[in-house]
Formats: sequence, C-alpha cells, structure tokens
Amino acid sequence: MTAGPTAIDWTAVWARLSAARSATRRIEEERLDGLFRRRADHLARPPESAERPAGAIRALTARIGRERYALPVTQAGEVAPLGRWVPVPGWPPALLGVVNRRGVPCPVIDLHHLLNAGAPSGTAACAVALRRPVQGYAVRIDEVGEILDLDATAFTIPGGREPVSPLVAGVGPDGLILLDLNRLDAIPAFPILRDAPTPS
Amino acid sequence: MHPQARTIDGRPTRIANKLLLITIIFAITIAAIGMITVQTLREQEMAAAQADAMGRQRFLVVRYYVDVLHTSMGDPRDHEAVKRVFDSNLRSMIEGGPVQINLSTEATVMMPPAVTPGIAAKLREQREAADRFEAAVDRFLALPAAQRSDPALLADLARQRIAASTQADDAARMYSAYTQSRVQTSILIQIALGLAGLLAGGIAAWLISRSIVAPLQRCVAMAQGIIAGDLRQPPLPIRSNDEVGLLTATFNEMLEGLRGITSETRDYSARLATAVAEMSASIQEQAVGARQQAAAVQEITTTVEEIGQSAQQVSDMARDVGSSADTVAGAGVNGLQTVKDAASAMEAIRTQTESVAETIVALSERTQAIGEIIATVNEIAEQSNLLALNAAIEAADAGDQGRRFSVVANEIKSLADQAKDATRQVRSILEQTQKNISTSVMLTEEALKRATAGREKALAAEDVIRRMTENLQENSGSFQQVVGATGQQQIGLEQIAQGIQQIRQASMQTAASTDELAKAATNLNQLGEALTRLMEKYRL
Repeated sequence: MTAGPTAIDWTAVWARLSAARSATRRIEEERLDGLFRRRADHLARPPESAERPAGAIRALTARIGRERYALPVTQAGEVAPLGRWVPVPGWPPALLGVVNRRGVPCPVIDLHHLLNAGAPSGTAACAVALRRPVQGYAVRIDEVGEILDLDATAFTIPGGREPVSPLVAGVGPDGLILLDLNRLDAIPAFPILRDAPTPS
Repeated sequence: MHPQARTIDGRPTRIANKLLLITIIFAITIAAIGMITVQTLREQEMAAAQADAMGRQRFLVVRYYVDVLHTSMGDPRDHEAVKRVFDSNLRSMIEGGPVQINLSTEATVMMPPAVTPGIAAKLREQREAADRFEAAVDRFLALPAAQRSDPALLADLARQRIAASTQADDAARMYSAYTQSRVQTSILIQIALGLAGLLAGGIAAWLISRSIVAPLQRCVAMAQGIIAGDLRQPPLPIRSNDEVGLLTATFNEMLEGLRGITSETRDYSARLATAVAEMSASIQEQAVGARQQAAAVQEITTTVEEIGQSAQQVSDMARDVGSSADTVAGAGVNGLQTVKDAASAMEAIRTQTESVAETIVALSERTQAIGEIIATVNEIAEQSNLLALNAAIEAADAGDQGRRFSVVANEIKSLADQAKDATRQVRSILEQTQKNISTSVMLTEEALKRATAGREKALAAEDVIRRMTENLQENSGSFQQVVGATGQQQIGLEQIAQGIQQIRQASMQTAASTDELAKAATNLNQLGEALTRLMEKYRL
C-alpha cells in the first residue's frame, strides 16, 4: 500500500499568501524610498570638477562581433535602434544600405566588414550617426555599451604592427579597441562613398 | 560341419586314400616281383626238367646199346622201342613237343623248339650221330652171332655209341648253359624290377607324404604365429583337396575368424570402456540425484508437516472466519451506505476541482497580460537607455555647458539600466510563475481525473460490497464445510507423510545401491581395460 498524499495545512497556506501580499507592498515602498534617497544624495553632492586630465577622452563603448570598441563621443551624433534598411544596388559591400532617419535617408556603414569582424549575428543592432567629417552617415554596431572617460595615451598598437583596419587607433590594457572614425577617408573604398549621393 | 564330412570341389577328401594308394603301389610292386619270381622258378624248374630230359638222351643211348647187346647175346630186348623214344624225344627237342622222361611211367615233359640255333644244330648233329649209331647197331644185329664178337666191330659200335652219347651230353650241356643264362637274366630282371618298384614306391610315398606333411608344417607355423599374437599372416595356399587342404582352408578361416573376433573384441572393448564411462557418469549423477532426492524428501516431509500445521490453522481460522462472516455481512451493509456517501463526496470534489482549474486558467491569462506589460516596460527602458546615451553624447558635444546635463543623462541611463534589470527579474519570476501555473493546471487535471476515478471506484466498491455482503451471507455455511474438509486434509497429509517417509527410505536404499553400482562399474572398467590390453597382444 502506498502512502497517501500529505494533508494540506490550509491555515499555513492562507498565512503564506497574506505574507506574500504584505511583502510585495513593503518592497514597493522600500524601493521608492531608496530611489528618493539616492536622488537626494546625488543632488546634494557638490558639482564635479570640469577639469579633465590631459589626454582624457569621453567615448561610447559598443560590441561589434566578439570585440569591444570605443567610439569617441565627439565623432558620434546619435544612437538609435537599427531598423529595416534598404540595400542600394551598386554600392560596395561596406555599405549595408540606407535607413530612414526622421524622414532623411541615411547610409549605414558595416563596421563588421571594415573591421574584419566576421558576419553579424542576430537581428538586434544599433546605428550610431556620425558627425563631421562624415556627417550624414551611420555605422552599424551589435550592442551599445556606456559612456566612459578613457586615457588616450593608454591605447597603443601592440608590437608596432599594422592594425587589422585603418580605423583602429589603439588597443587598451583591458582589450578595449579605440576607433577613429575620422579615418574613414583613409579607406580606399570610402572615396566612392564620398562620390555617392550624400544625404542632404 | 564335421571335418570328415566336408568335401572340396564336390569330391570326397580322405587322406586314407593316399595311404591306401601307397599300400597298393607297394603291394603291386611286391606282387609283380613275386609273379616274376614264380615265373622264373617255374622256368628254372622247366629248364631243369628239360635239361634232365636232354640229359636222359645219353641214358637212352646207353639203354639202347645195352638192350642191343642183350639182344645180340640172346636176351632179346625191345631196343627199338627205346630207339623210338629217343627219336621222338629228339624230334620234340628240335621242333617242340612232349618228351618222355620215364620209360616205366611214361611221364613226359613239354619241350619248346630248339631255343638257340646252336642247340638246334647240336640236336641235329645228335640225331645224325644217333642215326649212325642206329645204322651200326643194325649192321651189328644183322651179323650172325659169331661175327658179332668181332672186336673191331664192337669197337666201332662202341665208338658210335660214344659219339651219340657225346652229342647228347653236349646238347644237354649247351641247354644247361642256355637255361643258366636265362636264369641269370631272370635274376637280373627281377632285381631291376624290384629296385624299380622300390624306387617308384619310395617316390610315390615321398610325394604323398610331402603333400601331407608340408601343409601340416605350414599350419603348425601359422598356429605358432597365432600363439605369438601375429594375426597379420597371409592365408596359406591350398594345393590339395584332401583333409590337409580342408585343414589349411579351416586354418585360413580360423585366422580370418580370429582377426574378426579380435577386431570386434577390440571394438567391443572400446565400446565397453565408453559404456562403462557413461554408466559411471550416470551412476554418479544417479547417486547425486538420489542424495538430492533424499534431501528433497526430507524437506518435503518438513513441508508436509508444516502444511499439516497450516491446515490445522486454516481449520481454526475457517472456523473463526465462519463465525465472523455474519458479523462482516452486517458491517457490509453499513459499509455500503458509507461508500454511497463517499461517492457523493467525490462528485462534490470533482465539481470544485473544475472550478479551481478554471480559476488557475484565468490566473494564467493574467500572467500573460503581466508579461505584455513587462515587455512594454522593457522597451521603454531600452528607449530610455538610448535616450540617455544620446543625451550624454549631446552633453559631451556641448562641452562644459553640457556637464550637468551629462550628469542627468547618466542618471537617466542608470535608471533605465535598473528598469531593465527589474523587468528581467520580473520576467524570470513571471516565467517561473507560469511554470508553476502549468504544474498546478496539470495537477488539477490529475486531481480531477482521480476524483472522477475515485467516484467510479466508489460506485464499483458499492457494487462489490453489495455482492460481497451477499456472498458472505451465502458463504457463511461454506466455511463449516471448509472446516470438515481441512480435517480430512489433515488425515490425507498424515498418509502423505508416511508415504514420503517410505520414499525417503527407498531413496536411501537407491543411494546405497548406486554406490554398489559404482563399485561394479569400476570393476567392469578394470575388466574392460584388462580385455583391451589382452586384445592389444594380437596384431591386426
């Protein structure tokens, strides 16, 4: 004969449900209290010094393929989800196509191709609009990171060898690769882009 | 078949015939020699009589002369008769015929014609001399008596007589010489015939004895070889149809038979060894089986005793059950009502469980709505994150003017990251909750099935209890019969126990007999090995 199911203690069940509802309310209140306290503390702190150390640059980190890159914010204009793009016949492989940016067609440069990062994986991606001298273009990244203050002098070319791409300005101690998007002019295929119809 | 009655090529085979042949050969030889001897003796006797007859011619000449003298002296004698006998005899001696050898009895002897030309010439000379003597006698007798005393005349007469006698003596001497030579020739012929007969008989006896002895020697050699164990000998040649040939053939058959017997004996010895080995193995298995049987019988005895005890317990229990069956039947009525109540309760549980299932499904739908809300919140957080990034970029581009704005942008980005983490946690919790809801739905469905099954089982139990109650009431009397049957069963078990005890004794006797059989098999195996060694003496 098999043992029968354990009898349910309905009193304990009701007590557990009541405790769960109470805990939910308490956690919500504690979260709001914490948020308000952190906000007050932050506002109460003195303003940070405007002085930056020499050689420091502010950069936006991003993941392209399996590597992490840093894009100087002075070269980036806007980050937006990469929607559906339209390939343009006759354009080189480094250009994915054009996307609609607030009603304006914007060519998208495929950094996977320029950085030899392999084929992109997944559909979730972002487009980073660029500033001068290549204003009006955007580059495709797989995932956007955060904005960091970096020491530009810490980024070097390992062993003095030729980098995999002219866009690489240096490699940091933690493997972060600093890009210089102004060097797009140095890429042989890029003048073709310059000759392509530029967005107004 | 008796050896004396056997035949070879359909003819009687008797060695006595050969021995009889030897005897006949020697008898014929002896008879021939005897006949030749008798013939020779008769010839000698005849020759002696003939020689005597020829010698008696001289006597007749003298008798004739004496009778002539007596006649001349006045005493007449029949000298003519003597002369006729003389002439007749002489003629018979020349031409063949009877010769008178006794004047008184007139006995005669047959003379053949003159056997040789010399004798014939001598006999003719004797006749001429006798004729001259007779002529002288006639002249003498023709003379007067006074003149007969003339000495010259008497001398002439005497001379004629002597001449006739001399011729008769010569003829008799020649005939004696002839008969002597004949006798010597007969003796030589007899000796030659005797030697030839002895030689022929000896050769015949040697050949016949050789034809008998040589096969016997070969048979003896074969028998000695067989005694030495040599059965590979070739068969003896059969060169006669007599008893020796039959004996040789019998020896060949005996050798072949011994080969077959030895071969079969070896084969049988090998089979005997194999059979003994198998029999030994079977006996050992039988011994093991007998012991196992004895042990099993012992266990069965114990089991039967336990069964007897169990039967006694069954009897007691049947008696108790029979007494309590009525009580159970009464309790069955109450149980029947209780089962009906349980069926109703199970139906209520099923209804409530269905309500719980619907509530859980509604709860699941609510969690789906929560998931949609979480997705919306996550999207907002993503957009806030990007917005904060763009704000930070713009603030950085604005330089010092945008520094405080940069702080706000960072705060917004931090909040957006926290919102994303929170929505991730909520999604995880929501997924776990959905799994728990699915588990609850599954458990509720199972509970509903079990409640339905429980209600069906309760209804089935109601039917079973009803029939059980009826059967209990019907079987209440059957237990009493069971009590009686178990009593008889106990008696039968005691008989079974006695039978098993007898089987156990028989098993023990079988085990003992099996040991004896094993010993006998061992002895038989030893005998088989001895027989094999004995047969190995004979080489095939």
